[in-house]
Amino acid sequence: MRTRWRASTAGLILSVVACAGKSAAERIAEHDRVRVAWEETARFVGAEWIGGAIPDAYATRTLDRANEELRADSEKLQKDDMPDEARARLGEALEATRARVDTLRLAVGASDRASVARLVRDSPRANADSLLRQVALR
Amino acid sequence: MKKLLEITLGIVTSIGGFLEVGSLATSAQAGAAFGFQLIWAIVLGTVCLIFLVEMSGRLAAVSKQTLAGAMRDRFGYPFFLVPLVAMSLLALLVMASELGGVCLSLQLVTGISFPWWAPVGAFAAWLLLWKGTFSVVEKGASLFGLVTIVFVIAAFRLHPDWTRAAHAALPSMPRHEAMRYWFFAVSILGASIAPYLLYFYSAGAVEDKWNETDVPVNRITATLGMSFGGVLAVAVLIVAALVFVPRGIRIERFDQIALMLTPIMGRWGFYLFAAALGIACFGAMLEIALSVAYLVAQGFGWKWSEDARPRDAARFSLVYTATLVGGALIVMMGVDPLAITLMSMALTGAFLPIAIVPFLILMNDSRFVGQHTNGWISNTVVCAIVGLAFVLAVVSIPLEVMGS
Repeated sequence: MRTRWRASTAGLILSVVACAGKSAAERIAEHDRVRVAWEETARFVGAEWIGGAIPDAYATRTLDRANEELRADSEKLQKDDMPDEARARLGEALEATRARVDTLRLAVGASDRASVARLVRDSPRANADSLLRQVALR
Repeated sequence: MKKLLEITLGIVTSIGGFLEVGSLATSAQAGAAFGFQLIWAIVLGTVCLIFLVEMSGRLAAVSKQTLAGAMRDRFGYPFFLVPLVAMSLLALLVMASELGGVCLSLQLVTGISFPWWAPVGAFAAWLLLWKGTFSVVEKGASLFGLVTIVFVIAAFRLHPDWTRAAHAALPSMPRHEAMRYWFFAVSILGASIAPYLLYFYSAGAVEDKWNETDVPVNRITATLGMSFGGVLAVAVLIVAALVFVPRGIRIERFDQIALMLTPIMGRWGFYLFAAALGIACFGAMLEIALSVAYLVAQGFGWKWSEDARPRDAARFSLVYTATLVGGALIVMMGVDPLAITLMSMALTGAFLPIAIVPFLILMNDSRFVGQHTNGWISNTVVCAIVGLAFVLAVVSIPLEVMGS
């Protein structure tokens, strides 16, 4: 289901990119880049926290930061000029990422190692989608 | 034997003092965004810096004048005010970014938000300048700065494709996000060719009473010290490329950069990163505060020396105090240190001609450097790189600002 959703999002974004010209493509790519960067940062932080490589305070602060950045990007998305459907899909993707980051932050805050390990293992790899951006901007 | 010791110490301090928040942040961001592709910008910046540092040492050794003093004598006050104002304003921004680096390193270790550390960091730097001598400031900070070698160790432990890294030493066109690519290129050049370093270096040479016999030592120290320093910046870029690119992480905030050593060194990597960032930035803060004080005091003909008691060089001491306070106020406002860093480095690239062209004219004037005037190679290399940085800055800064 998740794969199909991602594939349809990919298709939509690629069509938008193909039709909407460079500026729309770059705007979409920019939002995608922010989402991927912070989702993967959150995963990285989670993995390093489980491995004991980073202090709790840093992990919590960075996950908070990820959440803030994703929220700010969601707000920016609403102001950007792009087709409504693309905006809706990107918005959903950003919110889904934000929800996962928030869950991870709560698990780290509660020192729940099992949940953090599960979230790091099971959350979809965001950078798989970033291939869209590379294709779009080639 | 004494000369050998001087050279060794000079090289060691150059390596330890090379990396600061500008080169660290720009290299890490460039590595995370473009892989190895921007290594060439570090190479160009380092080559240019080698020439410029050697020149500023040569000028001081031969003329017994600092760069600022010689510039004022050669061009007169009205002209001198242009680089004075431009460099002082730029130095304030760079000071804020360096202090931001110190504060972030303390935030990493303690968890206390970085703006709270600004008065502490500024006060510690001020106390060291107030109580310390030039030798303590220069060599102490640089020797501690050797902790930055951790990035070279990390780069080797990641087993990069060295052939690909070597190819990236030659300039290449961007494969995506062209404007961001050029903006990073100019930021790296601005971070490498820091004009404040030239004022600091020439004033240091006068403080250390160099003469013409020091010209060969200066040449070796500048070449080897800056080259090894450039290796550190390349190592940061390589580590960032190998750690962040496979994970799809772009560096948007400093918080992310702190993770670059943990996959290789675990918890030690985290604390070593914090130490490297804090020490390197603290050393740079001292250099910038002194550089501005040297620039202003030498420009206006006031008494100046870091070795003098503050009461004997009161206006000189007042300038470095004001620079530190100004930097602290900017950080305390909570402005994102990475944004200040990137923008101040790019602006440095744009301002380079103002600082460098008069310097080049001086270095070709036999009234100042006698028979040690520049050769055509150093003139050509420096003009070409500074010209490139200027053009890139003029084109990319407005577009990057509008884009973000």
